[in-house]
Amino acid sequence: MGRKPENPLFLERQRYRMRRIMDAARFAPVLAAFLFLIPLMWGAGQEVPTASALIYIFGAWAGLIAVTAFLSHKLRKMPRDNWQERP
Amino acid sequence: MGILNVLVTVSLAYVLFLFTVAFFADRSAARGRAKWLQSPLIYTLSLSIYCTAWTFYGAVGYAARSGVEFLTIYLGPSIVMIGWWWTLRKLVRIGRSQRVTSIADLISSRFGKSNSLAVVVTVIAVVGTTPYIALQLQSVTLALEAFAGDVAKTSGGPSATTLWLAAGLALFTVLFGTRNLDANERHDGVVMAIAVEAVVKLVALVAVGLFVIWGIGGGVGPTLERISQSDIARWDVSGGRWMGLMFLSASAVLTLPRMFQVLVVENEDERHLATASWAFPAYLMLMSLFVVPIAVIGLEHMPEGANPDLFVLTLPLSEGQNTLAMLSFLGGFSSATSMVIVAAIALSTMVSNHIVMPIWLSAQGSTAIVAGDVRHVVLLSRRLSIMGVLTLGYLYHHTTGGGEALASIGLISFAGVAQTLPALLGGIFWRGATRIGALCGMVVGFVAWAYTLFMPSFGPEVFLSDEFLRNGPMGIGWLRPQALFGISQGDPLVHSIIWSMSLNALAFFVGSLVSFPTPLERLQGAQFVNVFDHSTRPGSWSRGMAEAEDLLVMAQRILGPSEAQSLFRSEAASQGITGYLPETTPEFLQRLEREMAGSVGAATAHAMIGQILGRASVTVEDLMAVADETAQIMEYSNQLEAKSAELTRTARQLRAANEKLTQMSVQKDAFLSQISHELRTPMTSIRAFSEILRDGGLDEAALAKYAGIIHDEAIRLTRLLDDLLDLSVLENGQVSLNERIGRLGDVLDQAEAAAGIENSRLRVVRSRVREDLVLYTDLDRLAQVFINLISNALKYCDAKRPRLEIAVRDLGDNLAIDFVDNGGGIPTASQDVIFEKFSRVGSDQAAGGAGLGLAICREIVHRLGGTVSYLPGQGGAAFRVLLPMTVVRQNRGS
Amino acid sequence: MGKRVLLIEDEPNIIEAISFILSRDGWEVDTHANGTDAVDKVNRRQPDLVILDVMLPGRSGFDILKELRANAPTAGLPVLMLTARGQTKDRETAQALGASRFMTKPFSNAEVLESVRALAAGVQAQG
Repeated sequence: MGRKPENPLFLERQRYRMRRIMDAARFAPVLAAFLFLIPLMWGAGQEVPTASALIYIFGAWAGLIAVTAFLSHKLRKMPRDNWQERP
Repeated sequence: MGILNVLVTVSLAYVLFLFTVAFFADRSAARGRAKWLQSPLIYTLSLSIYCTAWTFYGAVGYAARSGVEFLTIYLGPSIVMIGWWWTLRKLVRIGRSQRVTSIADLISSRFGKSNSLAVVVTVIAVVGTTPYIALQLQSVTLALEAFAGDVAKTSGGPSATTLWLAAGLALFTVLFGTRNLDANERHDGVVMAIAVEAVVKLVALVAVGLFVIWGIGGGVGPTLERISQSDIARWDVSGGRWMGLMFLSASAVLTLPRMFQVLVVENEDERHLATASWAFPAYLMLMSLFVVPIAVIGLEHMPEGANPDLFVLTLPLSEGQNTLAMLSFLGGFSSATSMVIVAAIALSTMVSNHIVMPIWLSAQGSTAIVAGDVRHVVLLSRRLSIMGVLTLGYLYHHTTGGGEALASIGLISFAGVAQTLPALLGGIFWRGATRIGALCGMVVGFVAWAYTLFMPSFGPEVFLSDEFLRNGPMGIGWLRPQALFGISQGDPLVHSIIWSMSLNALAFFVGSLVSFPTPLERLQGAQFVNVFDHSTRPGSWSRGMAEAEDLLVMAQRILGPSEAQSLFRSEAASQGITGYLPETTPEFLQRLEREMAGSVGAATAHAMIGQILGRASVTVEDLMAVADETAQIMEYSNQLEAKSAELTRTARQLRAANEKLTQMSVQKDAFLSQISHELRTPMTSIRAFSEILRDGGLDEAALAKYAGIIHDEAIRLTRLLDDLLDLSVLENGQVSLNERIGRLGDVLDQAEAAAGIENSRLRVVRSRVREDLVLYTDLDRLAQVFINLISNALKYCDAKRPRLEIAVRDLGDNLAIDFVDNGGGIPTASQDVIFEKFSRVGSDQAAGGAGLGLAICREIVHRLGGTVSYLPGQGGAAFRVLLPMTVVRQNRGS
Repeated sequence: MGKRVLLIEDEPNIIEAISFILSRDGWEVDTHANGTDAVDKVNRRQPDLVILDVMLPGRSGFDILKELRANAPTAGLPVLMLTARGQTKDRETAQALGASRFMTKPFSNAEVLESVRALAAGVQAQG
């Protein structure tokens, strides 16, 4: 059995895509933290109504959930040997 | 009054229903038909134990008091779930490959399997979780009271209700949490039950929310309008709390024992995480969507002074929606019970594994490990731990009286368990993290938390005096619990989070930098941090030139001779080899290492074997390779490798067998030649001297001398023929034994005399006391064996001061009589053939025997029911006669 | 005649027998009982004839013969090989290595005498 090098220079298109999806999955929490920290800027003097705050937060939340659902759906389809199940 | 009865009936029916669900889930899991139990949906729902009664009821109260701040409790975990690819995936993989049973186990395992670390984590977990359990008990009691008014108090009071609740939960948890001792610590029944409860609480809260918005509020637009006119119309959250609480809840989802239990320990399949990564945030979002509307409408509709914590319940009640209120009650009940059950399971696993069992084992001494089955003890200890945890929760509730202090305890608990976060994350991302660092960090963080948050939270005069709180200990201002170093942040919670977490992280970091990890820590560290590299390609001891004999010599020193010999022998037997020297397969090397680790520790054992394997130094990679294999992760390619190794081994064994056969065939060929030589030599003397006698002309003396030679040589011939016949008879099994009673010591005396020790330089060392055994066997045959073995030493021992030690050992089933001399021994290559006929070691023919002695010995001992074998690694030549214990009739001294 | 024979053999009784037979015939018999330093002994004693057993402790008779033949002073020394194994393979080996004569045990005394005499005479004839 020949072994493939761990990090070949060029990957075929599909695997390249998959790597970028992984990158996106790594970036998702950073985006989430950023979006959820936006309210920090509301403190100073601005009178932000609770209703608007709720709409913003829940909107961002729903958006993040949608993005994560998309990424996770793609990642789930990774080849089996990237995953482990209980024996 | 009527509604209380209905409530009790419905609750009992609900509990019964949960029992049934758990029972059937467990049963179908046991029958292996549990595929649907292992769906990502169930996994996601089981995560909902994050939402306890504190969030079910308390979120509305929180919102009524502080506005939108409550959302942080849900946003933090959402960020963690969205970032699953970083942390959770790694935790789950590590949890699987290291067979982790709890967060304490994970941290301890990462830092060199240190139990002291596990104890620290367990203590933090228990201290942090007990008030939380109390909070759950209280919330159910309060909810009951809200329904029943004063009725509950007259029928035993809230305390009795709490007690019954605690007892019922203990029963459920014991029944389904400790049904079996699964190696993976999974609880299908419990998981199924909490998944059902997750649905119930979501449906209940959403139903109340829908009712509030459309039933009372008049739709989405008007409700938003009402929010803008309420007391909480403006965004009024301090930045510090917003960030601090989000951080706190994010770390809680990783470090809370119950969350670790459902996230990592109960995880069936890593892919479930992919689903949970978006589905669980969605669940949290739905759970919090209606909180503000309910709070606002509650504030509007409920009388002044009504407890906003119970709006979820009292709002439908006040509107006459009894069914909805009932559903809401069940939702809160579900939140409370599912949290308590999982927390109790997680805590009891930790308490039992890291505190109770170590104490029990050390109290039992080593016999417990030898005796084998400690499983029932483990189960018992788990059950007792569950009851202990719930008793603690109940006592806490009872002692604090369930006052307002409890409401804030949720966040205080979070901050407490978050003290394990630096060690946890550092452990899985930083190879340089050490046990000392982890220990320092957690202890410092925990102490800082207890000092700045936990103890002051009880208010003045409980733990700390008012004076102490305001002016610091002994008036030292900069040590004031809520304003360390004079920095008064204003918010004690944020103040405590900042100080405890940063001191914790600092101590962890510095401690790790200045200390040096043990080899095991380094090994585990590498395995944890690089779990994705290693878990797919377990390495193994490559079978080098490990000499079985060298290993035996070493093992004897560490395990003791008889232990080591029986280990080698049994391994050899399992490989189908007779004698004491098995093939040094990777499996055997690991088995040996494990055995030795029990005496000298895993790292030392590994290093010692590494030396014999001929490696200059043992690298961390080597250690990793071994541990990887024990993780039992076998991928397809590795199985192939194993198969090919197996084939190589078989081929080698075949080659060895073939070699031996060839060798034996050569020996058979040599047999006639040998017979010829052995017969012709005495014949030569006889013929020559008889011719001399025939020629005549000799004097009396010469005549007598030559006749004597003829006579001696004739006798030698006869003896040779006797030996040959003897052997042939023995080999054909036609021998009849003349069994009688006699002392082993006497037989040895007799053999020593017959072998002619008295007139030789050979010194025989014996222990008369051990030889004082009465045997029932063929004593003459036994003596024949002993004579042969003693004669061997006499002939072949080439030491300057030849010495033969005859040692008698009781090996349990067998009696061993060892003959060990201090000569050069027999080369490994010859050890296999010395018991064959006419085999004499090397080309040395000096000893004059025909090479039948050992062959005869082997046959005789075989007839006597025992074995005789060469014992390698004893310094000189060593033979062991093993007799079955059944020949011993009387023990020494009796 | 006063000829000197070196007998290299490890069985004491056979040594005794051959010594007796040869001394009676007027030979001066020297004996040596192991193979290890047999060649040294030959070189030191410079016998007229060597009787060499094949199976000797320490070193086989064949090895000794090989070395004797390889050294110039002893290359032509008459060597009578004795063996108790009596296989043709042994005889062939002995001849290949340059044994002057080969005898299988047990032998008759007359046979030994005759061989020794013939070998000694052969050398004389050559010399």
